[in-house]
Amino acid sequence: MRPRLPAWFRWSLERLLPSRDREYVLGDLEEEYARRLARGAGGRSWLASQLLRAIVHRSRSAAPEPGRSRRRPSFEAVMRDLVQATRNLAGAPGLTAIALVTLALGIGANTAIYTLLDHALLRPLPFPEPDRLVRIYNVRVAGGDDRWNLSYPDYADLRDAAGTLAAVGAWREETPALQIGSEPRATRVDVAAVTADLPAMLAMRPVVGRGLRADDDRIGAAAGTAVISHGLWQDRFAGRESAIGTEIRLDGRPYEVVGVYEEPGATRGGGGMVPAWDVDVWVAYLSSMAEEGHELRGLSNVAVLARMTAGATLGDVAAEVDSVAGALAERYPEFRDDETLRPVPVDDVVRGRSRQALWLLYATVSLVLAIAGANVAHLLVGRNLARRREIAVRLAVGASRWQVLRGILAESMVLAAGGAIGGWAVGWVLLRLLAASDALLLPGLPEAALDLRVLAVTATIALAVGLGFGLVPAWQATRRDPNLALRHDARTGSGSDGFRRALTVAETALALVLLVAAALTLQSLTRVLQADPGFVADDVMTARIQLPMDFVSADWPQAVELFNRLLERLEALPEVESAAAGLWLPVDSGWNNSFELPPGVEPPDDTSGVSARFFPVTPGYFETAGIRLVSGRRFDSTDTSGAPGVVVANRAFARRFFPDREALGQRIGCSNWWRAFEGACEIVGVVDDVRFDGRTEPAAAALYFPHAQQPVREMSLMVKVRPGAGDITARMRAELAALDPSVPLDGIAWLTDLLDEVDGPRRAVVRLLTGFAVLALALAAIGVYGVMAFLVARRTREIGIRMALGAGAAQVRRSVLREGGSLLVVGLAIGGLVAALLSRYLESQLFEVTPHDPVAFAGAAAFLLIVGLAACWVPALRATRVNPALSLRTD
Amino acid sequence: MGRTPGEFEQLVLLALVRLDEEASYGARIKQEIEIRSGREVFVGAVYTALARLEKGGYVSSRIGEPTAERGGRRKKHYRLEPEGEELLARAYRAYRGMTEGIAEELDELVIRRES
Repeated sequence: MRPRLPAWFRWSLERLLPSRDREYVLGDLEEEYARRLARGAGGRSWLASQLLRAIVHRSRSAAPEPGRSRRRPSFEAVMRDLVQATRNLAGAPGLTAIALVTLALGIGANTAIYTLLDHALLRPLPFPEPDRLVRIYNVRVAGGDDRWNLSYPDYADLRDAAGTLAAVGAWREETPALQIGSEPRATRVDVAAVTADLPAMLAMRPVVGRGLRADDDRIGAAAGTAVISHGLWQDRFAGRESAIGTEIRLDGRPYEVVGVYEEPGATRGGGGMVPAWDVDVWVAYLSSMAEEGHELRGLSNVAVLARMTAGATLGDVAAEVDSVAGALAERYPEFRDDETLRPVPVDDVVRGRSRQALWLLYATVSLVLAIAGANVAHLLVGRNLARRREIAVRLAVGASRWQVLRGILAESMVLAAGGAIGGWAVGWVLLRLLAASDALLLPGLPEAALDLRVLAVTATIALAVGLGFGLVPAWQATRRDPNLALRHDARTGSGSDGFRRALTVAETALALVLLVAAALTLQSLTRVLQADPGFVADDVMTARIQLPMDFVSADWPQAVELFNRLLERLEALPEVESAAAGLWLPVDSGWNNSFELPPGVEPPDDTSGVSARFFPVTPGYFETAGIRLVSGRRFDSTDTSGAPGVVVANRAFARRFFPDREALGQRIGCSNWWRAFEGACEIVGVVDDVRFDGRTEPAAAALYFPHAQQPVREMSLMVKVRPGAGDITARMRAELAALDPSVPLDGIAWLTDLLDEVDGPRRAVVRLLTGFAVLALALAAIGVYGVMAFLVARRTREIGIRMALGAGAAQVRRSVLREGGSLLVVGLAIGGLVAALLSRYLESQLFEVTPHDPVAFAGAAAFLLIVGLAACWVPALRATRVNPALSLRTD
Repeated sequence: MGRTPGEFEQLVLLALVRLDEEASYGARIKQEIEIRSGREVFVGAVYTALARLEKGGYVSSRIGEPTAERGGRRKKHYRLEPEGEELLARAYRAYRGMTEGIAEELDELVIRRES
């Protein structure tokens, strides 16, 4: 049996050999194989080596070069290509600079925003098993987005009843004055009063001493139990072990320091959504100042965090807490008539608000990157077109297509590398700026560092875009019959002409989308800033005063007295127009408290319950804050603690609970408050609404009480100064110190600044969006300019002829502008359509502006059209400078 | 005609001179080149070179009979054409002229290279 070449070998060789040689080569190989086997030499290794040779031969003969030995693309060749590419690019500095800057801006912006997104939204929260953690809120049975905290009794009942929750913890944050040992000096600290199971839920461990335990969390301990933070331990106790066992006082109330918690892994927690990581002292709830009022079921001031049991789903938990709420409503109908409980995953709570803003920003920078990519593509296409003669010559002289393409590829790669480096720098700067501005209020933001992974991805995208567009015409150029390309023919390359026009239209459309988004949010911001907050913030200095515990006695007369005397002294100052205080400032949201409607009045049957915001204030509050009185009277000195209970309601309250009758004179039940009044409280006045939750939210129902009748230990001071009086902080401190030197004045700020802070995030978004829109506009304008200049240059002959035939300069200019204008208009039309479709995603960011606001659309379109036409202007001028005689000779 | 043969083409042409027509086919040419020049050659490369030479009219080919030894495949025989002879003659004349009188030095180079 004659040995034959194996089938696999034959099959492979057949694939590798040109058809004309197949038979003969295989025949030769058969011969040799037989001979070798007959000799006794090895077969398989010879077959393998022949296969290898066939492969090598095939790769070499891809571009047959008569008379020249072929070189494999070696490392040296690639390096040479890159060096040559760099030289080429350096030879066209303008074009290269534009391309690099464009790429750097697009890549950098993208990288920065994507890093932010990754940090803020995609990484898991720094807690153990964060996806098993939920916040429990009160919500309306009927639905709606409103949610608020629980009361301590409700929390306790939930904790005892819930089977799907492995642990249920609660906390409250306070800011008392800290005194260590017997030193009189007091400083303000952040304190979290927590129930015993909360530290375990957050995996907080003591580094010294012990953490809070279950038996710390009970009423009646002589001194409360405190665990201090690592930061406070270093600052105030010099990190000494002797800190354990010392006594501290928070607002005069004594606590024993039993341990120090370790430094948290992340520096920024959820800003109040989960206990803040920058708490200085942790105290056990029931043995601390928080136990005050803890038995009141109507006082919803406790935040609840729970861990779901393994295997329980969110749906299971939701069903269970809802039924617990139902049982509670049955037992305590006067407190829980219209509310139920709902769990919300911690992730949603922490990130929900910034999520939309971030995705919006990401969409924006993606568009910018698209425009940048299109611009670079423009440049590359133009470049390759201008060089098609050179390419054709090289092909004719014997360069292989692959070699020419390699050269073009090298240029694109050098550009992409340069753009990526520039993008790295731009991204780094942008990230620093965003972190410093603090306006986006994202957890984890300061740590966000530029992610190399992200940079690599965006650079690759940019490279792909640029390469793709650059290679396509190059491929075509190298395929065409070189003779054709060598002839100067205006018609050649009309395919790429249309391509460039299409690119310009696309860029214009994208730029318009961004401009519309910026215009809409800008309009929104303007409306927000113009919206009436319901009070007058000008010239009002604010501060917070918190009285220590020993001021407090059963009737609180000293607290009332202190505040009254302070206000008197302040009003006596020449710079002061009026002074007042209230539990909250008009910019704060405050708490809800439930109350009873008068007999015979039906509660509203909408999604809310019988509760309102709760504001103890001094008589001058409304006047100082510029809140208008609508009917009835304000509080005065007759509304003391012994007098009949009175309240002032706001218009939202009157509209909600007494829509079809007069609110004045109604008596509402307040058995749920600190000072319950027999016979209820009478509504003696109605004031204008204040938008507590920011200018964009509707006003909530609120009840104001005379401070004398509902005293509180902690109030915000408002001092309206005469215009031009300047900073009276020192005077304020002096007056307070004169009354009681142990009470500090905290948190001093102008009311206008506080009002601005509420709008901070919105402003940041608008600023960023506008910035990117302007960038996109600039890039699109460059693109338009480039295309028009190119088209004009190609038409020099035609223009020359027309001018020789008598066309005036103005006519020529107009025709160029018309051509550019028509491109722009098409782009605007497409962009307008796309913007109209996409703008509904902006809705959450808009205030009193519809997503299809015609003014915004028209304004953005007009702006873009003007800039675009301006970009056409220079090429139009150049067109008129064409010397007809010269242009006709161009060839 | 200003064409000069490439290095490999020269080797192929020289082999054709040596071999009679019956033996002037791929496998034998390759064998000659490998034995005499010490170069390892893939037989496909021989055919590629011959195809180029044929295109230029320097060689011509004829197809032979299939044999069982070759798995039923035919052989392709080549012969030198006058143009090919002239091509080779020019190359050889140039080479001879250039190497005249320096044979020893060239041998030296070969020895050094092989050691």
